[in-house]
Amino acid sequence: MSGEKRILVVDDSSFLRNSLKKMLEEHGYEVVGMAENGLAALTKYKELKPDLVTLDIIMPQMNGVEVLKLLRAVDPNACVVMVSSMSSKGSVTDCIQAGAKNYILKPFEAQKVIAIIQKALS
Amino acid sequence: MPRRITADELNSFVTSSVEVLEKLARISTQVGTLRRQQWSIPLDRLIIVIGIEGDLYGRVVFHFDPLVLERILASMLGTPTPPLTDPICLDTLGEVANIIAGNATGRMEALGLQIAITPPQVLIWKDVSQEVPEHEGIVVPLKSTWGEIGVSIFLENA
Repeated sequence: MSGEKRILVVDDSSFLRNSLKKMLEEHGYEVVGMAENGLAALTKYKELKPDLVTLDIIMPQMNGVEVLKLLRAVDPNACVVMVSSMSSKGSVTDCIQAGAKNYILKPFEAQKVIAIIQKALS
Repeated sequence: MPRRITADELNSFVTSSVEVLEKLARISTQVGTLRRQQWSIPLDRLIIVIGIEGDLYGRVVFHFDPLVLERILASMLGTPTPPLTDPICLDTLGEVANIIAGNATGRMEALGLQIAITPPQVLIWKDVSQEVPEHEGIVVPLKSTWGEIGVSIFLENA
């Protein structure tokens, strides 16, 4: 069970934001907010204090790794799971070193996403 | 002088395209005969351009037959599908290209190459000649029941 955990979804693609929101809500999570870029993500994180953030990497202006570092500067305990189509080891390593809990590879399946979110929140 | 890309490097994009289209849009495609040509896509097509940087640099350009576009959007957004010019359609198609290119980066890494991709530009009914290189590229036709998806690869070794 999700235990009403509150999630912020960050992705520059509205299709991906809505897909993730639907998937998470179907599994009992509350999507408290969505952001389409890094700046909006930081503002919403401070305002909403979510339990977990799903964070896209490839975004215009500020990429997800930069956003992750800023989120962790605001809240060293921020629980962030990266979501990206980039499957290179370097990309994954950069995210984990910057404090990400885990990494979801696009295109994703609901079962995998939920398993990763559950583990990150446990 | 920069060398042309190898068959394995090209296949990174081809395999990623076939797999992502099948998983995300539930469209089964087969790879047609590859051809080397300069940019010559009609202006009435929807085009998606992704920039590649790193050990390889250049552009990967996706272009679609109208029926394939409809099928992809119906599969991903449900029906009735919004008009093609609706931002949600452009965003969805851009994300398909983004995921294909992103997945290709992992395959490139297995070949010992580090590349990065830029966010996709989705262009409809526009002259995109400024967005693509003047030299020849490799066009990979992906054939489906609903028509063709062209993947034009303009990449060189850095």
